[in-house]
Amino acid sequence: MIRAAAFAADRWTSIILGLAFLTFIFDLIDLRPQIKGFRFVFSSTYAVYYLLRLTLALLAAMIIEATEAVQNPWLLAFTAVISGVSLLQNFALKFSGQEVIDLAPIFDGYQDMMIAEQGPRVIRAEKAKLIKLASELAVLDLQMLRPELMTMLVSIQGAKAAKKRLEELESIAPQDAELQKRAYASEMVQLNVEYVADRKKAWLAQARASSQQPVPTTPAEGPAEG
Amino acid sequence: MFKQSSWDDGIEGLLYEDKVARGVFRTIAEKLARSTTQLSADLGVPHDKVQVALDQLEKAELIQPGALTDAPGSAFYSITPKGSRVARSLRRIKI
Repeated sequence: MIRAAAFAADRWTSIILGLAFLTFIFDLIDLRPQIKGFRFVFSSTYAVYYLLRLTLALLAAMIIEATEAVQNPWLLAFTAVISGVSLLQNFALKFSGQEVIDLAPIFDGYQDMMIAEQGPRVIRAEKAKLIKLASELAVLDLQMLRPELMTMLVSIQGAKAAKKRLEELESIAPQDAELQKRAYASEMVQLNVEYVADRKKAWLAQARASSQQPVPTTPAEGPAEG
Repeated sequence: MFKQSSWDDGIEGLLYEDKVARGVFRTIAEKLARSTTQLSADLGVPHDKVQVALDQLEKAELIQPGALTDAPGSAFYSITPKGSRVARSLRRIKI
């Protein structure tokens, strides 16, 4: 009697572990393409969604176990997870033409919340990319950045607004060339990151080439005779 | 025509009749977040038209503005839960 109870407990431990693991793996495969990342697994929304999914899978496992159709606990867990998914995608209880229970919108709602929560993370990542690109661009000379920025501003905003914006940026740190360069670079990546990323290599190569050009020597600086 | 639980007449009109708004919305729904400049480049549509579409989509609560700066074109927009629901309906009816 005790041995049978211990065996059943062992079996259910294996089934629950299998359900927990396979549900999680299934969620990663199912949600990753929609949410574009794995960070959602740390959110409280996913915790609730996961518990709901696990509950459904557990119910399915109990039904399958009662039929004694599957002996292997891991195979049973797998079948229960798949059954739970098809159940939640299709289960809709109707009475007199009225929908009483429809599970799909509940789970869709949690997925929508997770997708919406990922938006600010994507924005932070995009912003980090912009800052990194602006820092890389800030190694260029002020004399090189200024006309490039002006070109971009004029093409986007028109001459009048471009002149005003350039004056605003110049007033940020009129005495500090380094800060001014960073302000210009930041504005450029904000205006059109694709264009800047595309042109960055050419600008850096141009800057390197101009720094390697021999400086013309005046007669006074020339080598001393004798 | 496409009426589903998450749709109302305003959203249906906006996404069915306005090609720019639909393109902007689908791009944001696909990428989850996008800036005005990126959307303009993605769709090949001028900034001002993209901005009009963004304002309409924001009013319909399908998207929300993210980090804002005063540089034009640098505003990021991300999808809302309602927007995600509508995007799912759009994918189902394939428009």
